[in-house]
Amino acid sequence: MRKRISASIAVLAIVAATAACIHKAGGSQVTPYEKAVTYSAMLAQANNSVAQGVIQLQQAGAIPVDQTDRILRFQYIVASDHEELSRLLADGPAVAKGRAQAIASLLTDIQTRSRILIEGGGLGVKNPQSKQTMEADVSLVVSTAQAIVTSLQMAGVLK
Amino acid sequence: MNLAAQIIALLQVGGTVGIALWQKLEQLTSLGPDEQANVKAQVEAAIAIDEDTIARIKAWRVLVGLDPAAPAAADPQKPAP
Repeated sequence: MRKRISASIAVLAIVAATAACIHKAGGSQVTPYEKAVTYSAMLAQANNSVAQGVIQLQQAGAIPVDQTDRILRFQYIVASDHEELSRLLADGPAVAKGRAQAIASLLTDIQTRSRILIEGGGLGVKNPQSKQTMEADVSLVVSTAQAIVTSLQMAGVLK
Repeated sequence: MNLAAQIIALLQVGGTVGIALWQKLEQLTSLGPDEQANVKAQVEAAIAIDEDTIARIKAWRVLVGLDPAAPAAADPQKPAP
């Protein structure tokens, strides 16, 4: 049964990897700025989905309140910083260029916090599967933030 | 590890969370033909998702008897006691 569930998840994972490719209706090319805001929305979604998962795990008794609190504090701050970032990106690449310093600062903050959390073992989750899930989530936040930086550099917003 | 590989890693360990995330990511990566409309839609989606995350965390904090306003001031990097 466990093998069957793992296989199903693996299949879904492959589909997800394909789905993760950003594409446009009509097949026209996705611009770097479109990629940046799409990665940005993906970062928000990853953070949101795992926050929901963490709450579910706590309510099921898999992780205690204090550990849940520590993870959710991280996710709260990522959500707050990211909301600010989204507002800076809202007016398109030309306007965003004038906000480059603030944009770079928020992205660096998100990445730094995430890395410290992983490297310092700050998640504080003892259950191995929960720990793996949380580490994968935080790693995804770091990578997506880096993908936003790269796309914004290609769009000429960041140097 | 690239982004796709990290999504796979998250899905492999994430169970139902991973599956729900996959569905949402699939929606987010399908863009329309107009750049300006796409930027507006993605930014609005991101803000709505972040606000939902914040609201869920505050609701959970109330549920377990914690101060809902505390996360903004707390340092999550402080070592666990």
